[in-house]
Amino acid sequence: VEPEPHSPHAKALPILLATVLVALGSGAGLGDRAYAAEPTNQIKSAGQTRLSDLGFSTADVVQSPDRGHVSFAFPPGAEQGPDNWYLLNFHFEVEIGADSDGIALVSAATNDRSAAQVQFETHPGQSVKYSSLSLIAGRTESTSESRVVDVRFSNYLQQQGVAPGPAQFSVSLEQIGGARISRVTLFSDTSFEATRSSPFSLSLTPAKAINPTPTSGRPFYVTFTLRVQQGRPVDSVAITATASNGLEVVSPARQDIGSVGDIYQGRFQLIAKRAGEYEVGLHAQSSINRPAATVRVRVVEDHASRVTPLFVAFATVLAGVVLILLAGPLRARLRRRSQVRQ
Amino acid sequence: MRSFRTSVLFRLLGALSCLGLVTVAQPPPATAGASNLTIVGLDNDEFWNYDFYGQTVDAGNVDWAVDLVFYNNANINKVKNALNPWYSQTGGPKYEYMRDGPIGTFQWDQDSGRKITGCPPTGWFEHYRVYADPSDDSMYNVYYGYYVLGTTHFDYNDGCSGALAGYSETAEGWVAQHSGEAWGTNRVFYSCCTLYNSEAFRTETAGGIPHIWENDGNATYVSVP
Repeated sequence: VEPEPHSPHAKALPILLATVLVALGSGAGLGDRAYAAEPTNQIKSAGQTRLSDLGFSTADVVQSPDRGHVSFAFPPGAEQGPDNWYLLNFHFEVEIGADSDGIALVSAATNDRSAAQVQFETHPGQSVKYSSLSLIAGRTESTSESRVVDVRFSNYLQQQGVAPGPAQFSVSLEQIGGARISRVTLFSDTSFEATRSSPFSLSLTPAKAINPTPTSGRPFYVTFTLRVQQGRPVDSVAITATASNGLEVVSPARQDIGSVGDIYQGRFQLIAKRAGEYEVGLHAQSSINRPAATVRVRVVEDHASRVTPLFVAFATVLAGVVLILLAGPLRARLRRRSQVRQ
Repeated sequence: MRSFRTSVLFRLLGALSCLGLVTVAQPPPATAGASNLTIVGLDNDEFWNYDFYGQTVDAGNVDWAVDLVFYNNANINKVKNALNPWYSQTGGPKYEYMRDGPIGTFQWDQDSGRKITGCPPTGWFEHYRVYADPSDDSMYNVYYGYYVLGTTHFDYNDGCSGALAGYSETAEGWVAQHSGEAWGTNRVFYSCCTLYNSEAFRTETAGGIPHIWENDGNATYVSVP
């Protein structure tokens, strides 16, 4: 007894519902300008670049056997992280047929790498449920009583969706079961956004100022704040402090924090024997990402610690002088008392 | 496309073992036991590299090794829809435990999967299951995009007398072939990437039927458009 090769064609059932690829710009009244922007239309390396900046006008996207696209170009050196990141801010509208009964997926991709996937669950006579997943908002689920649904969705592009030079932005529609989408409109305020903000949800921010000013020989604190994106708790959080030569971490150098649900503020105690410029490294670990930060610390001389010994010495000398000055009259007085008794 | 000839000997041994001819020295255990159960990371996400009979992570509670990753623009509904021409019937539920990084916690997903036919069957039929974070029907990271995980196996006389199950590697090849027919052969990467779950060919017993292991530890990746 062993598994026999099947003849897939013999057993193949008709494809119940075909994937429908939507061509941008193939709709009525939509010109070449919107369909194929020049590859020289480079998006910005910082901030937002809207599709309108690339020559695309808001348009109804009509079903087509061909995948449509908007051509543009990433800037030279563009890559997805670790320092610079690209987002897609996707704005579209769907019109759902009254008899629609199934699931529809609207996707958007750069260079065939999908960064947006919005799922619509439709049934006749019922409200429309739609959901999405992104690294920015996590999972979102909404309900619309209207059959016309306006959607704004943002997400980080895939790593392989970002590369220097010419690129393509494409939108696709897939209808499963009895889903019937009669219209998809792509708005020209859909944009690409270049940012330095990481997609990973745990962030580490050290305090900008240390108060009071650190002084040599005296402990001081470096404080920090850990934040997570709303509704996206992070587990197994720990933070470690390292200090440059001459600076010592007094408190435990590692703090195991556990789960962070919103915000966590903590501090490390340090001490430097001498004045100078130092660096404190903060390295967080978590189940998601490992943010790090460096704090520059200027430690000043502790003048109070130098004044005190001088003051003690001066006071001792002064007391001695006073004692010597008083010693003569005191001795004379004692001698006089002794002579009177005799 | 993988060759079936490579596993003919193993399958013959498996068949013999099912008949009780080659398991004299070591009786099969009461349940199937995974040899390499571990957590595998995909970017910031993690999952166990086998699916389970129930919602308990235990090497003695596994069903099959994870051997499929549908990525880029995958979604459970989308995958099942695309493969529906070949796999239109549902099976019984199994479970996978995974964590979609940004969400932050491990979650169980249940899937009954799809297979070629239901009971009463005659012969061998592939059966695959696909899993993702249950609230999303997919998972996302910047390296794999929207992706789901899958396990495969063959059923023989499923749910009926003389039933057997197994040969994941061979079933993986068939699901991969049909994926290529659905989305394009250039989008299928056969047994490309290790998930650290190789299983030597052997027969155990799980759920009261012979459980025939066959897995090379390398999953097939399918880039879903």
